[in-house]
Amino acid sequence: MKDQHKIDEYLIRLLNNEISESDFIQLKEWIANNPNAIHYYCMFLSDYVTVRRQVELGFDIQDDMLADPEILTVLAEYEKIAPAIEVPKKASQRELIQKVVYPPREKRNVSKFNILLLTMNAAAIFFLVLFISFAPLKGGIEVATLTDSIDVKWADANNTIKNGARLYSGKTSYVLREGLVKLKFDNNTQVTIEGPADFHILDDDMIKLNYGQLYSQVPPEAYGFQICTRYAKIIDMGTEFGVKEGIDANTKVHVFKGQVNLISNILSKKINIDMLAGSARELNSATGELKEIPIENNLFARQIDSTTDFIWRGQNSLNLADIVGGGNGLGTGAIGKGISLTHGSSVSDFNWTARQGKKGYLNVSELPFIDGVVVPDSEDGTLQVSSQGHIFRECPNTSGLYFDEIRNGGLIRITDAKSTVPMLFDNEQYGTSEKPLLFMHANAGITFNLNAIRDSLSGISVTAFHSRCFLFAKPNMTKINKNDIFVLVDGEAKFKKIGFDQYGVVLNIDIPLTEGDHYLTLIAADGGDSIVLDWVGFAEPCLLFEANR
Amino acid sequence: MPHSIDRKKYFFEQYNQIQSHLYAFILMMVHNECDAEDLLQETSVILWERFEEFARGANFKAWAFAIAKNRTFVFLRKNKKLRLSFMDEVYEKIPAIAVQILEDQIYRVKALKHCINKLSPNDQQLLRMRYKENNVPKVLSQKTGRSLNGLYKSLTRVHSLLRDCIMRTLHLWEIPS
Repeated sequence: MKDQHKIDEYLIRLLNNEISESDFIQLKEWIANNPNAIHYYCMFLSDYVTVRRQVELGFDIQDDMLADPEILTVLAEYEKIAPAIEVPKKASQRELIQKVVYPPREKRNVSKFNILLLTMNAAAIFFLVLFISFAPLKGGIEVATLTDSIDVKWADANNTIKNGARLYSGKTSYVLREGLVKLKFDNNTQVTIEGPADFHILDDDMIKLNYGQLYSQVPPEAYGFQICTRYAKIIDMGTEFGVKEGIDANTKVHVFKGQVNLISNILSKKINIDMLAGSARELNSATGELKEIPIENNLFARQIDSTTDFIWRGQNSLNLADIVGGGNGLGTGAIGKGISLTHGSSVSDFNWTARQGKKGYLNVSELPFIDGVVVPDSEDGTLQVSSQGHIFRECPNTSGLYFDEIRNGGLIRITDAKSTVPMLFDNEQYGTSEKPLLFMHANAGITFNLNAIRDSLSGISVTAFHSRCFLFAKPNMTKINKNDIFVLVDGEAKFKKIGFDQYGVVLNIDIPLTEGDHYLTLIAADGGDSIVLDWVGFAEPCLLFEANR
Repeated sequence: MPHSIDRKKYFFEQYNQIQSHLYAFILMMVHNECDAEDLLQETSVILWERFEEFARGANFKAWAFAIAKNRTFVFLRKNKKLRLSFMDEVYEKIPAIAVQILEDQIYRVKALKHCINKLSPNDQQLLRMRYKENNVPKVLSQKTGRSLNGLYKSLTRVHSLLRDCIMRTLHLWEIPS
């Protein structure tokens, strides 16, 4: 636009009621003759108000700069030497503004000290230029940290980014061939990105996703965080949401908490809608159409923890049987795998033999969510049930024997036939991925470390333990044996069933948990009548979650 | 009928969200900061007085802009001979353009925040003295011992720098500006 600066100056003068009539006439004519003038005028005033508002709210000005009285003098000096702006010539009209004549510039006296100072400054600038020339280019400012990653392969094998690395805003494109990364922005927004993905960080509160999928958890202080895709912008309004950008540039947005604002403009189809929690939409990049789609609760990796290979996709429960099988609680464990009550280590083979259990509590070091195991037996009723020394004070005096390890699923051995049968209850097979089972033949006890689980699932509250407990029977079994079942929280019994011998009966166990609860212990004891036929199972044993904001 | 506490809270929540846009809209209509501030105050009173008519869940911004538009037209008609005015059709076109611009403002605001910190300390100081300390140009010129013309040139230059920076930033972000 010709004379843009002059127009800007007229507008600023106009807003301050200090425009001359002649200048106003020029402005008026410009508006009348230029089809885009009103738009420009509105845009300028909108920006003007925004600048004013931002300055009123305060911005990062160094206070020591403000205190410097010389700044205004420098400013005045600058205006004297600033390049002139050409003004369109018009017939002279009445001037409202008084013209000012600047005094001639003073001749400066330059001392030797000043010359020395100048020389030193020149040297400093020279070295600064050298440094800038040879220092690695980083492209922007540091805005985020890569806090964790699992099985990552970057496109540029020579430029891998390690956990803890700082990431920069700008045009640097991060191409993730495989795996997952978790970024934490300096405003505390957490973004989990799943490969294959291509993204770059535009600013301290804005990320561009060229393709791939990400999950964003935005705390209140980072309200307004944005995800840009090729044809859409998703603006946080206090939210957790996932974005999946396809190679075809179609964008899927799933909102799990709060609200987002989705903006797009494809083929002049303007979209500006608010999406609420529980809703999902897909934007078609070819047509600009936006349609509702079913929300997929488990589509996005929301939390990752490389120490446990934990990838949480929004499931609302954690399978404790899977953890016993060496998994992360989300189905990665092996069926049949268990933990030795003699060594506290993982075992896969079966060795059905009545054995004397090792006295005392055994720490389990190789599985981070399991604190330890124990063969419950006590003469004085006390039993240590955690590595932190929590004591269970109602422990029965048992035979001190055990027959099988604690397992994820299992098998029942038929002694006479020297064969095994699956774990059947009510004509359904347990110990499968669909019907998980924590199998605990008496005498057995296991303690889960709730804090370790919470640490892996930051932003998650563990709210309850749930399971259905019942006894498995061998085919054609006639004998009945008793079992004592306990569920403890930090050593205190929250559930107990003494002398349980009702085959076919289900004990429903629901125990609320709070943030102050550290250890959960399950115990199957022999009921005082030997360990024979004490096939105790905790079906679908799970910890229930709630995501925090 | 007096407003309930809940209703009052609702009003202020809604009003606070749009106040800045409402002011910008009024300023576009009357192109004078003093008049715009007075009209904003008047409009806010009318909004409050007529808030009973407003149905919860309806578009508060659209309702408020409609009232502000009426108020500014009344003001412009009443003061036409006393102030500098554009052609009537300009004022008729402004509301639709203003609403569109203000709706798309979110990225410009973000870009501006980014740009304002890139200004030199001198330019930041000038903005601070003008807008935060609220010195009108004449007062600012006296305080700084500078000519009013020079001061306007500086303000213009800083606003232009910011506008150019916003455009560049939006381009970098691949957002149509």
